[in-house]
Amino acid sequence: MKRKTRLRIKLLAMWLLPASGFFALYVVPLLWTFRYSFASSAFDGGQAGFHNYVYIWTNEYFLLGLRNLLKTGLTCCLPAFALSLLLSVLMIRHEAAAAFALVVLFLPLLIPSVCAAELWKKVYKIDVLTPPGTALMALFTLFLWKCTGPAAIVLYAALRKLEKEVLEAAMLDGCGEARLTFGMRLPLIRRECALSLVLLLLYHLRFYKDVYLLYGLYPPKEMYLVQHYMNNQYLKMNAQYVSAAGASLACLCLGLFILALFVTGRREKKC
Amino acid sequence: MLKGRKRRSFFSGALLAILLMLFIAPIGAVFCLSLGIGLQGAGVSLEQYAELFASGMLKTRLLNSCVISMGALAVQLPLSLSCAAALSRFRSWLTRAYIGLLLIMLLMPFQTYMLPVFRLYRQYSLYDTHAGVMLHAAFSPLGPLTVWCFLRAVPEEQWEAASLDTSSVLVTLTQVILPQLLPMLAALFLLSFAEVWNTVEPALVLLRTEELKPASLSLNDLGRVSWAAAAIYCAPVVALCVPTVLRLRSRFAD
Repeated sequence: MKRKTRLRIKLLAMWLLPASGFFALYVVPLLWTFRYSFASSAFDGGQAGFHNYVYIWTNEYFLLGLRNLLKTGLTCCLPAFALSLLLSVLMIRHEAAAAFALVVLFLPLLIPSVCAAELWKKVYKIDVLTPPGTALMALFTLFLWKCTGPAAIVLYAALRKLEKEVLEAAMLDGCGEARLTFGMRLPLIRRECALSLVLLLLYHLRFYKDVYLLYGLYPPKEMYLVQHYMNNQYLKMNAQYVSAAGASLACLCLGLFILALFVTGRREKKC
Repeated sequence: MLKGRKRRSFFSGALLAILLMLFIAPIGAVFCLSLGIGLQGAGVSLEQYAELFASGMLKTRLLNSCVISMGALAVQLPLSLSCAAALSRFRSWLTRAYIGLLLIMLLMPFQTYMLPVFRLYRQYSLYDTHAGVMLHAAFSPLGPLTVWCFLRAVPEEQWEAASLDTSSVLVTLTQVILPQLLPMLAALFLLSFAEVWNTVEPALVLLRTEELKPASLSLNDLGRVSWAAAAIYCAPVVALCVPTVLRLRSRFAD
């Protein structure tokens, strides 16, 4: 047998077990979600066509959850991105503090959500009578605290890689600090900025865990997300609606992924 | 001009310090509250810890968290290394497609596929077991993706030079490549540990018995001693994060 063929067989063997688990527990269940979304119920094998999709896309709670998901996404991710930019620029200016800053910025993402939720509940006095403004502010600050750090670290790593000669040449030409940052540094790290935004959107999609720990299964109206709708339908054993909602959310995530590929791919082509 | 620059540097430094203090304040607050600082009618004391250890409330939950985390990581790390090595050595459109699939699944919230996983687990008697939650975490796309990114940085020449001495990919991986990757694998261990230690949704859906649930689901049920419990629950993550991040920073400082 040729050496190359033997090598390929060995590589296939190394890949097979991890890939089998990944396909069995992630990919195939996602594909089954799409299949169940066309079933009439969890208990019989009947088909409902697109009825489940029509039901959820005309359901006020699903639409409320989707609206809130998109609204909180924009209101949380954009300020988090701006803060991460500010932090990365400050860390570049003060390299001596960067090691400490890296630890501090990374920790919130690793701290168990249940611990952070306990603290936020105490600080914002969260209970069933919490006003909507306070509830939103609690969510906003929790997201900023947890998710800004990794985006700031990505931007800081990108800023560190910039060629010093380019920046020094700009300074020799009379560029001030502000012009250097906004006119030189940020345009050169556009790709990493897009990556940070996608990272923040990713964290936002997975932020349901923190919302659940703060507000439980039945949060205030402004906090009700698509995932709450899905969990509640799951508890009522409406598997078909859970699957239809899951498939819709999966398509949204896929759209986000394609957008990210488009943005980063376009930047590479231009370069 | 120099004065202006120094002034700007001072203000930017102060702003960075304030922002970092704001980030670290919640963590400090949890530890302070666990010592009674900031609680009404309480001075500094270890009363919460004493009450917590005396009642044994957290013991079972913490043990469950440890079992699930260590079990998942024991499976995830070698499998991620094996899978990533295969992906980095086999260059083809299939590899790119698989990487894309890993990225897509990393993006998907658990709710999008929780129902089929629940049914699968019921069918194969994995429902309401630690093994079920461990397996789900062990085959997470995070591990192979992260290790693959690290392996991409290893020069092709190293693999080729090692292949002159041995035809075994595993030997090359474990004796030549792995020693260089240890700091990055430590980072992966940290990220994966934090993810499994912090697991909420899979544990909520896949575990029914209260005695099997990890601490991530039940800290708020502990009443008065929840601050001490939160501090103990945070401690392993903080203890792992600080040296790992500092070591990685010193390695990539140049």
